[in-house]
Formats: sequence, structure tokens, C-alpha cells
Amino acid sequence: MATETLATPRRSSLWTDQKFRSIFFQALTIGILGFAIAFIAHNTATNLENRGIASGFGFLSNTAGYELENTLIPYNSTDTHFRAFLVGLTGTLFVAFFGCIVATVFGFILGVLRLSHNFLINRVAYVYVEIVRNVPLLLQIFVWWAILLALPVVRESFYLGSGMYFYNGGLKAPSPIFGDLFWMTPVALFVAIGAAIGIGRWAKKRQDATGETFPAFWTGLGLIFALPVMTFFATGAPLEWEVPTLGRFRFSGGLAITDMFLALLIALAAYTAAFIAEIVRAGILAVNKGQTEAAYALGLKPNWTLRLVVIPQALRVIVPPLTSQYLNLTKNSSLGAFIGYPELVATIGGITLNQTGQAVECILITMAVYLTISLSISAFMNWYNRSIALVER
Amino acid sequence: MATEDTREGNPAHPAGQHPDLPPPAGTTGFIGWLRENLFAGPLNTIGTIVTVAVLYMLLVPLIQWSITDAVISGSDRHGCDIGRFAANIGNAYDDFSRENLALDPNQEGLDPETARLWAARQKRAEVDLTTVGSMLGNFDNTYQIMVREGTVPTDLLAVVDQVRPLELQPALLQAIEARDLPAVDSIVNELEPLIAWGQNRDGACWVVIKERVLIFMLGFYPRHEAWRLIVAAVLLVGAVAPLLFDKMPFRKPLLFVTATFPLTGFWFVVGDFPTMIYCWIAFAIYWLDPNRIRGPTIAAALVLLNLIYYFGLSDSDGLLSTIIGLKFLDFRYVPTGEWGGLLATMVNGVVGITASLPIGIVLALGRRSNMPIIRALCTAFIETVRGVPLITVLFMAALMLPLFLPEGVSFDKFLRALIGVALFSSAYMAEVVRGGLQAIPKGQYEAAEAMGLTYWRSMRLIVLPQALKIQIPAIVNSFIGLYKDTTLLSIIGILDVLLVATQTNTRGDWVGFSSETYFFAGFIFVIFCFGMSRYSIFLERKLHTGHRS
Repeated sequence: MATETLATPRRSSLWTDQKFRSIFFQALTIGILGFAIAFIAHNTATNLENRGIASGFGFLSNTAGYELENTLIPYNSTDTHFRAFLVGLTGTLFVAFFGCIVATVFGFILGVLRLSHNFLINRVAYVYVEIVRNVPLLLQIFVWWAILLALPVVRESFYLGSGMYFYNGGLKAPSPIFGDLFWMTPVALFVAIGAAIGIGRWAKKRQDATGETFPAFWTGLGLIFALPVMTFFATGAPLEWEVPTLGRFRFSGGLAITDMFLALLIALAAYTAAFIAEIVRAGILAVNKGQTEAAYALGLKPNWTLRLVVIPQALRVIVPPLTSQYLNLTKNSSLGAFIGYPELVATIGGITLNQTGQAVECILITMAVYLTISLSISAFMNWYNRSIALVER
Repeated sequence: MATEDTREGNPAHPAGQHPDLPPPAGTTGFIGWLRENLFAGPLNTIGTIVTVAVLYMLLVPLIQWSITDAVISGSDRHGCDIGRFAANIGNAYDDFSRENLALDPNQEGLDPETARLWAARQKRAEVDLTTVGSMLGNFDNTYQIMVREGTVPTDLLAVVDQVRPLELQPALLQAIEARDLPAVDSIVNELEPLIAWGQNRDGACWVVIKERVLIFMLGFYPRHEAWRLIVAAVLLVGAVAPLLFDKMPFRKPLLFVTATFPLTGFWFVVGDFPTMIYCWIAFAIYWLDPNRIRGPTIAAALVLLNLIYYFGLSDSDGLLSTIIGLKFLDFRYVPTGEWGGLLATMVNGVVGITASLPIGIVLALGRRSNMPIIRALCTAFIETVRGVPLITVLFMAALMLPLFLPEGVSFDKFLRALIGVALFSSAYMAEVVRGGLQAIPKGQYEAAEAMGLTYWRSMRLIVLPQALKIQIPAIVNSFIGLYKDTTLLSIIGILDVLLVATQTNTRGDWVGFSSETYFFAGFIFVIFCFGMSRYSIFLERKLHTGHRS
């Protein structure tokens, strides 16, 4: 009997079959998800119908009817919502771009100061990093804005020289008026950059082949400076400046950098720099001390050691987290909406949304744009990261 | 002792047995430390001097503002204003003295740039001079109000008796009107004791914090129910402590507080659900003797009790209803609209943290799953949420979620915000957990499988404990981010600490004290976030069992 029982093959349950279970659970997930989406879509459609809101993106071509001040591209209240969206997009990109640059520079300086052997400098940098990292960014934006608003009024603006004024409405600077042939200068700049890269590659190849060095860095730098400057003057200096003039209550002419932009930029840069400082510090510390010692033993000068041995290895550690800081900065620029800086969340995600009631569309557009920006930045940084990654032999 | 004596061959010390010499003077002790850390070279010395100078310029005004010149007594703004007005009489007069009223921009033969500068200086001088008068006027008005209220500080009474500013005001205004500068100068000199008094009281006005501290802490939570929050806060500390420190005394009983905190905390803060105590009791029995009562039994009994109560008894006032419904324990229900300040921040932080960790674990496991559809869905969710700012997720929770629900169904704004915050941070948490999962050697997974553990068991018993442990610092960092992010809730109208500060600055009796309110709000966040970051560093050191390079 017993042997017979044993001999009977146990019916394998479908349930214990891994393949079946996997398919079952995935089908279940899709089913639940599909049901949820259908449920949500139905509810949304009903709700929108009851509120008399037509869905779709048609509203983008309607007149926006609200004013935005100091936009980067021309805009007035008779423009469309789409135009307002573009204003927001340029605002976001502008502040994110400059924010990343300032934050990187400041963060690297701070990170090096954090590693200083000077006790005092080291501690001050540490306290700065800890305070700035532990205070919400929004509060810091408010504080910077309050500081800028406490500056003197227009009439008592600080004069910074060369036609620049600083007052509680921000910064006023001369605005450039480009002449006919000015386009040659940026072209020359690009050509110079291309040539510098080419010279660098050629110099490296030659050094690899023959061992002869060539001052490619200084040549390239000289080229990048000299070529555009020469082109500029060769084309007859086609650039004039419109200096802002102080009227009774406001400036006329010139380039305006608003207090909102400045507050947002300073706060974003200061906040992100504190994080970047820690990343830089960790990156430099991650380079083994033996590497520096070995470089010295080979007879490399200290700045060569830094440039050829330490920094390339530190960058490998620094770049991936740096990417996510850039992404954070870009996303954090949405906080500009709190102080009225015309960026995405303030324009399409804020005023347009409130005016048209197209919550779904507006939020989806905003999210899609941020997602695109985020993915682009991470794609670029991944490319850069690959280019400096260790090539293992 | 001369060094020559200790050379090799000296009979006092045979070769190789010489005692160690003391290190050269100036390389040890305080001087040595200073030399090494502050004055190691010319560049280092310059750095030290510059840093000291910058610190001096920053810290001295900060200490003066926040401590020595600060006002803490009184209960309204007059006590703060009066010091500032008194000080500003002197400040405006100093500004005036730096300018020159006599400059005449219309003079013959001036070049236009000088004329512009002169005009500006003359204008400023006039404005400053008027300010001197108006500040004395403001001082007198405020002083009279304080006299009526009987809140004049005693030291001010003495100064006023000596200076008599109220009698000087007409003369000052007249002198200013007539541009009689010697007269103005003599009157301001007479006011000097008053100005000196004011300059010791023109710092921070902590009265605003003192008066609004309850709103900063609770929002509009009913004051007579505030004891419940204190109990909840104590319980929270008791619940968190055993999680933070694994070698503390009374850890086991405190873990019970931890396990039941979601129930008890909810009950104390929200109120109105006394039957929750049944869950609590059942859990306690299970805790004490896990073998006797099983989870499902408890759940069934509780559901039954609650159902009986809510559908049969809750409306009646009979004895049975009172006993089963525990009506004598019925705390008044506090709607979330009355929550605010640190309470709102804490609830968001704690709920967000507690919810985001499990959701994050599930998402991370899903992202590493073998099932392609689950993996794709989890990856898409994580990457999407990480790619957008929190503000848009909050907008979605506040504006889109109501559209998604059937007609007539709606739920609390606070709860919607909580869902938004929890989902947002769970995506970040998922990446942290995934990092931990990837760091676990493959052998651990395989060994767990070889032992015949099911997927969930191998995760629960083998993989996740190790993965979470190595990621604790990153998890805490993620918590800090979440805690700071709660400030964004103000955009959908939730009264968090920061919104209390900005509302104080723009509405009501306390306009114009934004430095104080921002300072206080920042202080609250620094305490919590710095505490968390120190804890994560402490853990990192403790968990770091390997060797440092």
C-alpha cells in the first residue's frame, strides 16, 4: 500500500508552477490597473462634464488674459496660454541653467574648503553646509527674497559701475544691441572651441606616439579667447550697450534681472552647493592617498598630480551624484512659483490652471515637461559619465 | 640640557639606550595645535585671518540682534517698536550728518555727473532729516499707547523723565521745518540717553514668537485638547527610541508602544475613535502570548465589535452603547482643517516616513522582479515620480484626485496631501532600497532559495534585513528630505510651520517681523533635520565594521 501511494505521482498543482504564477499575477495586475484606469477615466469624464469643462488641449490657443512681468520672451496679456507656457518653460530653463553653473562653482569651492587643513575654515564650511542642508529650501528662498526686498528703493539704487544698478527690484544692467555682423563672433567662438578640442586630441595622440608634449591647454584657451575677440573687432565691433537710465520711479531701458529671479537663483545655488560640497569632499577623499604618493614618487609636480591623478579619479565618484543634484535643482526651481517668478508651475501649472480649470491637462503638461528635462539631463550626464569612466583593460 | 651631551659615546647613555627626547617646543600643546591648524603657512594664516574677520562681521551683529539687543518682555508689538523708533532717531540723524544739505546741485559750472550726485545727496539728507522728526513722533505715539496700557518698561520711565521727549517733539519738528540745523543738533543731543536706550533694544523681537508659539506648534488645534498632542508626542518618542537604539533599557516593552503607535497616535491626535482601543487591547494580548491568540481571530473579533457598535449602538445612549463604544473615552474629533504648525509638519513627516518605507520596499522589489510587466510598471512609476517636482505631485493630489473619484465622494485635503507626499517619497525610497538590494551578494539570494524559502520569506528573513541595514544612512537622508519637503504643503493650503511664519509676517498685528519668524521656523527644522543627520552619521560609524583605507 505504502509503496503504491508513493508511486502515484503527485498531481502538480498549477498553483505551484512558477511560470503560471508569474503569468497569473501579471495578468491580475494588468486587470486591476486597467479597471482602475477605466474607473478613473469614467469618473473624470463625468466630473468634467458636470462642471462644464471641455477636456483636450484646445485651451492652449485661447487668450491667456493675465500679465506676467519681466519675461524672457516677449509676452502680454493678449497672448495665448501656449505663449504663457513658453514663458514658463524659458523661465525654468534659464534659472536652472544658471543655478547649476553657480551651484557647481560654489559647491566645488566649498567642498575644497571643507577639506582644508585650516581648522577654522574647515569648521566654518562645515557649519555652513549643515545649516543650509537642514533648512527647507522654500524657507531659504523666502529669506533671500526678504533680504533683496530690504535693499534700497529705486531712487537710492547702488551703482555698481559700468551701467549696473542694484536695488530692491533686482539688478539693472546695460542691455546689448547687436549689430549686423555680430553673429560672426559666436561662430568664431564655436570654431575656436572645436579647434581647441582638435588640438587637444592631436596633442594627446602625438604624446602617446612620440612622448613629445604640447601645451594644448594653454593653446586652446588662448584660441578660445583670441579668435572671438579678433573676429569681434575685425567685423567692426558690432555691439552697443543700452545703459539703463534712472527715472523718477523706475529705470527705463537696459536689461532687468528681477529680484525674484535673483532670490531664486541665490537660494537654489546656495542650497545645492551645500550638497555638491559634500559630494566633492567625498569624491576627493575617495581617491586613495597612495595615488598621490605614487604620483609624487614618479616625480609629478603637485598641480600635475592634482590634474592628472587625483581629479580624474575623483570625478568618477563625483559625477553620478552630481547629476542627481542638477536634477534636484531643476525640479526645485518650481519653488519659484511661491515668490511669483514666472516659471512652469507659476504659469501653466498655476494661473492658467486656475483660470481655465483644465487641471488634468495643465498638470500633465507640467509633469511631462519636467520629466523631459530630467531625462535629458540624466541622458547627458550619463553620456559624460561614460566618457570619463574607467576603461578597464 | 645641551644636546651634545647625549651623543653616541657619551658615558651617561650607552649607545641605543638613550631616552626619548621631548618633542621640540612649539609642536605640542596648544601652541603646536595652533601652528598646525591655523598658521601652517602664509596662505593658511591669511585664510585664518580672513575667516576670523568674516566671522566677526557676521557673528557680532547676529549676537547683538538675537541676544543682547533683543526684546523678550511684553505681549504686543509696542514694546519692540518703541526701542526701534528710539534707535532710529539716532540712526537717521547719523545718516543725515553723513550727507550735506548745503550742496546745491543747481550751482553754476557743475558737470552733470557731479550735479546728479549732489542732487541725490541733498535729497537723501532731506529724507533723513524728516525721518528724525517722524521717528520721534512715532516714539511719542507708541509711548502714549504704552502709558495707557501701563506696559512702559521701568528703565524707559527713568529715561523719559530725564529727557522729556514729548515736550521736545514740537521744537524738533519746528527746527526741522525751519532747517535750523544747530537747533536740531542740540535737540538730538538732548535725546541722546533715549537713543542709547533704544540702541540696546532694537534687536530681535522675540515677543512675536512668544505670542505665536502655540500657533507655530499646533496651528488652530483646540487649546484645551492640546494635552492629547503632548501625550502623542511622548508616545512618539517612546515609539521611535527603541527603533533608533538597539541597546537601550526597556527596549522590549517600548517596542510595543512602537507597534501600536499607528493606532494610539491616530486616536490621540484625531480623536473620536475610542473603539480603536479594542485593537490595542487585542494586540497587547497577542504581544504577551503569541501562541494563544492568532492574528485572524483578533481581527475577526474586532471587526465584529466595531460593526456591532457602529451599526447597532452608536446612536443610542444606553449603558451598553456607552460601555462597548467606550464613550467615556471619546475625545472630541478635531478636523484636519484645525491642524497646523509643527503638528502638521510632524504628522506629514511621520506618516510619510512610515508609509513610504513599505511602499518603497514593494516598488524596489517590483523593479527587480522577474516578471516583465510588474518590472516595467514599477520602473515607470519610480522614474516618473522622480522626474517631476513634488509641487506638481501635490497639485495632482489636491486638484486631480477629486476628479478621479466618483461624484459625491471626496476625502480630506490633508489626507490627499499625505497620499501625495507618501507616494512621492516612496519612489525615492524605492531607489535607496534597490541600492541595498543590489549590494547584497548573489550568494545570499541563492542560499535562501536553496534552503527552500519562498520568495517572500527569503526577502523578509534573508535579503531585506541586510539590504535595509546597509542603507540606513541613505534612508535617514531620504527622511530628512521628506521632512523638509513638507514645507511645500502650504501651496495647497495646509498650515505648516513655514506658512505660520509667512502669515504672521503679512497679516494682523505682527507685520514686519519676518526675520524673527523665519529664524524660528528655520531653527525648528535645523533641530529636527540636524538631529536626524547626526543619527545617520552615528549609525554609519556603528555599522562600519570594515576597515577604512
